[in-house]
Amino acid sequence: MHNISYHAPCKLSDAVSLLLELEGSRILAGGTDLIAKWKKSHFFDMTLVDIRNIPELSVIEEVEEGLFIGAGVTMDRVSEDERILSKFPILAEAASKVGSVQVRNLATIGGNACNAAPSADTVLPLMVYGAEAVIAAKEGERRVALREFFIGPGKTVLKKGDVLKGFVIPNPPANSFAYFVKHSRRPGMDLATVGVAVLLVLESEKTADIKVILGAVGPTPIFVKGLDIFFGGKIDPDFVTRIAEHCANAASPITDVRGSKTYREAMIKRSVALCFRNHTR
Amino acid sequence: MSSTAKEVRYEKGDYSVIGSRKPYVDAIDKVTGKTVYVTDMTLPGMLHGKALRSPHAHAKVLNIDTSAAEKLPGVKCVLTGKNVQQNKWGPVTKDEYLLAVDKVNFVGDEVAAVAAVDEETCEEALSLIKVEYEPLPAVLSMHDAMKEGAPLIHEAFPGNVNHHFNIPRGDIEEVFRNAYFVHEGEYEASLEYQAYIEPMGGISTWDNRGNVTIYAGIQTPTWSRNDYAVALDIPVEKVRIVQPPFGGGFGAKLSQQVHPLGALIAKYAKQPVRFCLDRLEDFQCGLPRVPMHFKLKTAWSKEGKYLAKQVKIIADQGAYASYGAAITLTAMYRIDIMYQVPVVHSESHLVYTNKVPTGCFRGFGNSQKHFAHETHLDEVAERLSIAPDDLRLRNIAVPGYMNPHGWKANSVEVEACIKKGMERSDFHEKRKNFLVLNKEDNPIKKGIGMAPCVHVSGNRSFIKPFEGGAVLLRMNEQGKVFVYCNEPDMGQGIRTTLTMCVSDALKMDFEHISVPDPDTDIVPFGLGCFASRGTYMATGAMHMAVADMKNKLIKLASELLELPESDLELKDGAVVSTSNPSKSAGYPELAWKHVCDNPGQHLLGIGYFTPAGVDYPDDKKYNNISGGYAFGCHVAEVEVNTETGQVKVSKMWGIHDVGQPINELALEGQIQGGIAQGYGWTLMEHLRHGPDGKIINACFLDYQVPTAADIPEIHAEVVDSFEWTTGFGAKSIGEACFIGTAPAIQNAIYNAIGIRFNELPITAEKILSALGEKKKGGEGHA
Repeated sequence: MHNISYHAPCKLSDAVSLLLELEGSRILAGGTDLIAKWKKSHFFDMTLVDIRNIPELSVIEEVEEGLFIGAGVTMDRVSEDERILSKFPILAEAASKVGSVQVRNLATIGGNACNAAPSADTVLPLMVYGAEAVIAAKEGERRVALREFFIGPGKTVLKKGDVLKGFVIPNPPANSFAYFVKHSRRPGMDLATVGVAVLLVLESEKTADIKVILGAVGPTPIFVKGLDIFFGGKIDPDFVTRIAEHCANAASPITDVRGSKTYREAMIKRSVALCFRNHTR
Repeated sequence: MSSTAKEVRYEKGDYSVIGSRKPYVDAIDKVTGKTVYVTDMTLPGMLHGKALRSPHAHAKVLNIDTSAAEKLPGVKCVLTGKNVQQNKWGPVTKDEYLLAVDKVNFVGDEVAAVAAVDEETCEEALSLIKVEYEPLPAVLSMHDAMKEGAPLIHEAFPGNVNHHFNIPRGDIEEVFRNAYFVHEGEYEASLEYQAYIEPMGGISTWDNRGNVTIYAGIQTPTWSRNDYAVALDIPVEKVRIVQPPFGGGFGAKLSQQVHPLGALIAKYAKQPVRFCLDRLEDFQCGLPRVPMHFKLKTAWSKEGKYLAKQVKIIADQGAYASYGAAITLTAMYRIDIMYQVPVVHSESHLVYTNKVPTGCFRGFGNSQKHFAHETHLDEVAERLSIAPDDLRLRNIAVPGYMNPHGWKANSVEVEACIKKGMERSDFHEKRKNFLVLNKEDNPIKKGIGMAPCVHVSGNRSFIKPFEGGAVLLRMNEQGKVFVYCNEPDMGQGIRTTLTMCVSDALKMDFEHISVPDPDTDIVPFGLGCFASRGTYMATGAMHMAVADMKNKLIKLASELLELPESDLELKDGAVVSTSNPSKSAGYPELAWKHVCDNPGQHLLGIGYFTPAGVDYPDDKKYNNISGGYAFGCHVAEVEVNTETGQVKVSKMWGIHDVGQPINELALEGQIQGGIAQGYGWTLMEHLRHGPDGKIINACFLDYQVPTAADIPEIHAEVVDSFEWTTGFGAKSIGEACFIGTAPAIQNAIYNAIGIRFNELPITAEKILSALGEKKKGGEGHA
């Protein structure tokens, strides 16, 4: 028999308490990663704390710095929300490319981050837009830059009793442009072989700021460092080649069933280049 | 009956229902979830069964300790190879135990089995069984199997060779010496999983007299009884198989280990047992496509006359033989009925490896061969500077063509298929345009490619004294007609096909016609659903059965209405006077009269069918194996992204010669499905083993099949044709529609980027790497 106990608190503070009280308890949100993992690992015993009844986890609201998106908001909602579409279009785009329709109806944006897969689609735009994770805990709320959130494949800074409440995404600067590429083997129902998110700020036709996040090519999503050498440049073919090369050097891809190391390296270059080429087009 | 039977020539009838577009009669139940599949079934007192599978590719089994598992509450029995009554079995070679004795031969081989109250308890019991193995060196590549010193997998088969076939027709070396052009090439087709929607499974129950009933997802209920009886060491008459609706087979679900093993567990549990594989097990131990390596050598005249063909094949059987021998034979020479080649030489080695046993899959070896051969022919066409369609047309078979194996084609419209394929796709114009377009500085390169194809409608190679099909129609006392036939439905729509034939011939509505699930205690004998035989055989028999019933209805009506038989015809579910249409007798009235006049007897229509001019191959594999060769031509248009290596198939055309179409809607569905599945085999699917012999992509995330987002736009069409050896003129489509896909896509990719990929699947990585090589100055070959 499957041994599962299930709790569905309506208050965030109750969820925090339950997670602290119940030995080995874990959070259930959309369940699209958890249930797949449970099936694959011979139906291990589970003590589940379902957070879907907690109202503040499913809101999308404008806040002073920008937009708050609750951790329990489904991918389907992220991909269709007008505020996200207008201010953070590549987040909506990334959400629309997660799994299948059925998966997107259940999977949550918080779960995508907490599962901490290096290939997580929505994490890349969140990171590139400079999102912060809002974490509820017994001692109160704290914020962690998403860039600091991941510590390894499947590992985050979250501790026992922590609940990811949502993300605050600052409004992007004026004259900024965002691009997202998910390179996968097939167009639907697949994990990224390589993912790239780019945020570009221009001042009089020249680059003032560039941020690039790479997915599925290292143990965690990669914030590409040292891009300041490209600030003040003009986006021409030579610029594109050099920045693509720079980004590929920042990655540490492995060979797996989705693609070889060599292919991934080529696809990082190509995907980064595509982002910049899309801008000039 | 044999080829000595008198010449048969059926004529096309004046059909009203046949040739129209009808949704499947069982479609609404399926899409609304009412249909009960094998996996959904339960029986009173039913237990669950699970097998413990070898983690080693090749190992001796030294000891099995089942004591802890036996003590687990909820466990009914624990079985090992040594404490059960069983025989080695197999459809061609008897080489596989239900439960391993002394030795395991692939990762997934069954070493023990349990029955328990639920699947979780089964899993727990399996975890308590301790098996002591002595790992042996394993053979993991077909290219290593025959090497000196390779580990021996089956004692009875030295060199790991299960079968060696050598079929020479004519002096081929002489032709090679004198030919204007000789071309050689090597090609390899990979391991592909059928990916049907319902994994293999069955539910078995025994009575107190030692009779077993298996509710099975199976394509060959009647014929597989023989295999299963051998495995279980009981007389065939004690095996009954009922075939409920099941979720597809594509060839994998002929005789399978899962049914007799489930029956064995039920026998010792003394209760009904449900034994259904989960998806991981199905990936590990299903019967995926036989991988093959081809060496092709062909001889040509300057004018493109096809003079000789030599093929040498190594085929990878995996750990057990299944139908490998017949599949390899098909790969050797089936295509020889499409081209007029006077001299052919075919040789093959079917070898064992310590991998998943391989078996039947849509095309039965013929798909593998078409990939190799139709790639090869495109290479030849280029060398001879002849257009690819033209080269084929210069050598194409015509009606009445008799090939060097003694096979005779009756209806042949492959020329029309090729011509229509060229015309519909605007092939030559596009080739011209793409040549210019691809010179532009654009990472997307376009190409168009074609490949004709042939398959059989039934293959007379399995059972020496038998070929054909039977239909029994029974009209009950309300005038409802039941169709009993052993050409069963696995989702391909034969239930609807048969319903349409009855409806057309007896002029009655679908709602009064029923095709029950085949039950081997009831249906006539038949071979089942494989070799694209269903429509050809069953409608052939149906033609006779409906005629029989029609005659009986007219005779009954003549007595009742006191009118001469010559004045009567069938119309709207009644027998009606042609001279005075107000005089008529409905089927319910006639059926009731028959039951009363002949107390209790239902009206029967009996039909059987033997394909004329077809005979069992002799010891030199000579004699015609099929009465209805089905042809087609596939055309693929592709866009290759030279930055990623990804291929987008933008459109495909499937033009087929199926004889007389019965259900045009189902036919179109088959063509679309065949192309979709062929697309997966060509570009995406490859079941891969790791260095330890374990499958490394045994789930649908890692083993990728196409989704709706991948499938190209498909144009499906049939050419005018009628196969005169069978009553309604119908041949087949089930396999032919798959076969042309891979070579058409391959040839289109070559047209786009000038590189050939002679090993499937043609992945984005392979393409990108080959483009890189080509840029560096390498040759256009991968």
